[in-house]
Amino acid sequence: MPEFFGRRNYLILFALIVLSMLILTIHYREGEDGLIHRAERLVMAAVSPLQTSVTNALTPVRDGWDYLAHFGDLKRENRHLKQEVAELRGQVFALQSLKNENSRLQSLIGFKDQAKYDTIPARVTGMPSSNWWSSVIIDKGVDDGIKRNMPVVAGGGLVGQVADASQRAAKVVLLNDVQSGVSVQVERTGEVGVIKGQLRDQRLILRYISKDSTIQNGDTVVTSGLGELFPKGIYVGKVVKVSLSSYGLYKDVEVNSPVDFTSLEEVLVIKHEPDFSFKEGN
Amino acid sequence: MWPLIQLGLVVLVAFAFQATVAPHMAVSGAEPDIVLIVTALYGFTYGPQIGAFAGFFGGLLGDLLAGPYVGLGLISKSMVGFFAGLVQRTIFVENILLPMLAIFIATWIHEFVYVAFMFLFGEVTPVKVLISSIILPSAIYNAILAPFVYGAVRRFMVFKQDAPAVRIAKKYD
Repeated sequence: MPEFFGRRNYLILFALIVLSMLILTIHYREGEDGLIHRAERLVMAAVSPLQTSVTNALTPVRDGWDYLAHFGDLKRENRHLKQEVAELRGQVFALQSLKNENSRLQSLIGFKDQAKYDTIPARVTGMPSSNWWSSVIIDKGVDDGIKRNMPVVAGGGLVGQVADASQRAAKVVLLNDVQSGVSVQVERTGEVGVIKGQLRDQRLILRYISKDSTIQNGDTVVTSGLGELFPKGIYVGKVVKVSLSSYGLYKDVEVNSPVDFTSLEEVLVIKHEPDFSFKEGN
Repeated sequence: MWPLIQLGLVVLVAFAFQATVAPHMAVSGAEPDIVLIVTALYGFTYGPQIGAFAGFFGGLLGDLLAGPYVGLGLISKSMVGFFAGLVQRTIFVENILLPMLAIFIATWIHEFVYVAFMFLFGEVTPVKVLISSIILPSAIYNAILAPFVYGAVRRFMVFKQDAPAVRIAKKYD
């Protein structure tokens, strides 16, 4: 019998698999200060400066390539944006006067301002490479006030949530990660569902919307505030597809996020802490 | 002992490359898996044991950085290294297409092992999406990169080789 069918080889493979399962179990069950979680933070802290250096070195190359590849598009986009800026300026003036009027009226009836959250600006320094999980590393950590579970926004929409933080870096799990799940609300109808990622796709899936719902394309989806992990009212995206499967109790709804998850550069971490803590995976 | 340390260093460099440069090499969302390629190369060249150890170490580092489940990558990469080792005698003897094909198949094995364990954790992904978004693009990308990665790391592969592997090394030198 050839040597490669030898029993010893399979015993070694078996031992490695058992060891892997053991590590998997310990990681799943241990607390935030467990050995493997600390090792994760150590690896993140070690890799983060390298990622920053490589990203800094490659950014001009990528920008140059993008510029050359999309020169025509950029010219058109620039023209279009100039028009849009002019229109928006007018709207801003109108809204500013409405805001002032609103403030005056609110103070008259004794309303308090809704909670406004401070934010921590951070730069994306790396993307932990995996075809399965969507996350980014940012250059701010515990030393800058970042804590686990803090929401992260960019480009006018929700980006994700801080999953782990070392002293000077943090890992943010993106909204399009398959494991991500955020309680959201459809603004127009008031229905609550859960937004999920689908394998690094830009489109998100909105689950648990009843088949009797009147949800339609163009509806705005924001965080619901339920569960207190995310503050209420953060913009998530717009509904772009609604369908009903033959035997489903719920509608299949796709939501398009304004955030380009593949090319995040700067993000804002919202200094919002839930009143409770939960363990990842539970 | 030195060969093992050198294996550790090669996998560590592959991991550093994976964590820093590979994300910038993504094409339509698919990234190459340099650690997987190195693991399979160790398996092809030195047999199941060394392949499995390379996969275990590379998988551990990858999981500690990226995966929410530390352990899944260990299992899948150990298995790839091991099974690559089982076919060690037949891979690097003919032409460049064989190792590319082998890496292509190794990627499918890796991803399917990963999917199987994800399924146990309740993550269900439609097979069509899985193949079109992840497995096929990654397998093609890894296969294309395999000869380049092999060219870069083979001078650091210093284990004592048995007769077939020596023959292989001579062919490439």
